[in-house]
Amino acid sequence: MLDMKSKVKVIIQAIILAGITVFLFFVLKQMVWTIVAGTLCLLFIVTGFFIPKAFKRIEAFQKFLAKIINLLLTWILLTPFYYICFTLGRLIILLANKDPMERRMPPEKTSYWETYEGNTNPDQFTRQF
Amino acid sequence: MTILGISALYHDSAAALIKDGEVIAAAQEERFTRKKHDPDFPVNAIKYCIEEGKIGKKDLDAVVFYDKPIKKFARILTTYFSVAPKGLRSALMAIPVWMKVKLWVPLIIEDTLEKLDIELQGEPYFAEHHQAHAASAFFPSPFEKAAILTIDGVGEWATSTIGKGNGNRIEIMRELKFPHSLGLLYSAFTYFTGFRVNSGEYKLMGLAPYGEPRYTELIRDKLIDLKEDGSFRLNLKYFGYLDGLTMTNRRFNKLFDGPPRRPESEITQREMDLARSIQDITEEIVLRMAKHAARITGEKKLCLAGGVALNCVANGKLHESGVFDDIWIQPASGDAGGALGAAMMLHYHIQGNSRKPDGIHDKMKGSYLGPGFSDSGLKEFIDRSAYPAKKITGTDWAGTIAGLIDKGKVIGLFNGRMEFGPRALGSRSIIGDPRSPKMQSIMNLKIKFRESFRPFAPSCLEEDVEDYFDFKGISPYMLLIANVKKDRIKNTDPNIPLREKINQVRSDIPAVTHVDYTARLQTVSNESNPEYHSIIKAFKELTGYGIIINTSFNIRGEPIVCTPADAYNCFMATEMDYLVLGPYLLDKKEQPDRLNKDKWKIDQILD
Repeated sequence: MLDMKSKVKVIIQAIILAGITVFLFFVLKQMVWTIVAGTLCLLFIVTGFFIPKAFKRIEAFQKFLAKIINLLLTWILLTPFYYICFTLGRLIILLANKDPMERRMPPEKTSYWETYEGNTNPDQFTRQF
Repeated sequence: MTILGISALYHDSAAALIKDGEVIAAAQEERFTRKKHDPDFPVNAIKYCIEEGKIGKKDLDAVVFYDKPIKKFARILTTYFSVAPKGLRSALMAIPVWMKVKLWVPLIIEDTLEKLDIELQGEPYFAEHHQAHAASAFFPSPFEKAAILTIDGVGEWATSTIGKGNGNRIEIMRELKFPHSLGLLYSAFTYFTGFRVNSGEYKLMGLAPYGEPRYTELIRDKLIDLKEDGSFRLNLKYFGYLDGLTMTNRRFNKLFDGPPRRPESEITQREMDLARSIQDITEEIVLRMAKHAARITGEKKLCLAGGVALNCVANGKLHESGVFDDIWIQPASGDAGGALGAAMMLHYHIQGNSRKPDGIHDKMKGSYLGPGFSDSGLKEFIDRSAYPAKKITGTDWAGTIAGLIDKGKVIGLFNGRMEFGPRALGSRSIIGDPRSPKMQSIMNLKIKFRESFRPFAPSCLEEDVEDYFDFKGISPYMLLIANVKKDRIKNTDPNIPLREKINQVRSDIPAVTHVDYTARLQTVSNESNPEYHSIIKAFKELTGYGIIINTSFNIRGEPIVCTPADAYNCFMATEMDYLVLGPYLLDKKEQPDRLNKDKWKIDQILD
């Protein structure tokens, strides 16, 4: 048996799917999708209340699917952003002859220690930067 | 003034609570969640600190986080700006986590405290990562003033700093910046030799004495430009951590005769030589940095912290060198200690509260700052499951345990408050007889289920330390190595294979004598842990040896045990003979279901 919290989850999901079914049937008049949404709605109610093991499997699949979608969306959005923004930034840095990573090892340098840049004033501790 | 310090979201999350400068509680999250090096926000550790400090709804005056998230994120973005178009895979992994979690630390703190029914007075504070390390090194130390050296992987930008502490103030003077990091250099070799980064570094250190330093010159020529004052730059052409998901790259493979060793595959002479070479370089850098710190601060005492300060071999060499008259090392030197340092930074440096060190005792209470269990609580645990146990009290307690050690038995010791930091110091320890030639192999393979080359550490009576080791002073937190005294050493053949080397009888305390005749030493005083001291003393009365083996109470890949239930599970999952739960002694032979291996199996995540 599912606990109360899970049952509430089943009911919420079933209500949402029922709403989608009604919308597909009356507004979009999409018979095939109406059947798909309606079947899913029934499946949630039946498994949620009578076959909890099956419902848990469905839930796990939903989570897996959500994870994949999340990952794909991240990649789709972030990949072009990375190449456009960061590569452009890199070009500007190169043109300015700067190297934030300080890769160079100038032979004339006798020390790489730098004077500490941070400060220890009290108000600095209220900031995240 | 009650202050909660938090370190989280990288590795070894932890919480620490101080009241008017006194350390009340500190613990790592991994001990509660049973997930080694747990990086998650330390909800359980915070809950423990709140309970231990009996903090009411309005009693918490301040919360300090151990680094500055936005500054750290800026460093990560800057890194991508300097490597793009490379680095995409790393960015795809890192940026979403930052956007979703790591940039919202104040909200996470607020949410966590709300769940624990604690009302925070004001906004949380944020220390810098290396400020927190420096504070964790200096403020609990016994010194009125001292030089401070912090060395780790990376914080916001700093990777090493030199500073000075005086009374209730800290001044950081010099820094080395990312990506030039001794911690990351050591981690690169940890990765390359087939161990886990941020976890297996101590294995690399343990492996080093088996090798020859035949790569030292190559490392110096190709990987690092090291200056006389210990500062350096890395040749980033050979490393993968800026633009990839691994610490090293193909150029590195070519330089060191092939690809990285696959985890769990056989360790070859190459790995041993690499371990020795990078260990030698690390020791040299630490020593040079310390000399420079002595020069620019003019101080005679040194406080150390940061992950590299857990390298007890380098610490031992530094101690031996005499660069400083005295050294104090924070026992939770890694990121966990940042929680304590951040809280202390606020209390002393920012709020200006007075600090009165006595020059002898530190403020860490032996590092026994974690959860403890009363005798009645332990009895309740034993009674609940009807485990057969015998109660031993008074002087019999230490004598009985010592007698069992003398008989060659291996004992799980669960007594008092849990240690803060990576070392077990006699509260959550597995103990045994150091005189036994077979004990190292037995404990490694049958009890800890770990690599057989790894050495065990001794716990020695503080008053007897000079009888066993060429060592003057104290090492209460097992952070220094020392040479076993020459008159105890037995001659061995150096030209034999590794497996045989491990089983050589190298001294009259072979189980704690590493192949290079050193030991990672813990000195135990009657003051810091009287009960543990009494066991070693009783062992001395029986055998003439005031020294025992002490290894952490866990198996490989598992965090050190926290509760009696964790201890019992570990006891049953291994071939330990006895378990001491406070005053109760449990004999394996009498335990129900002892033959049901599946019931007691602990999921091992190989580290």
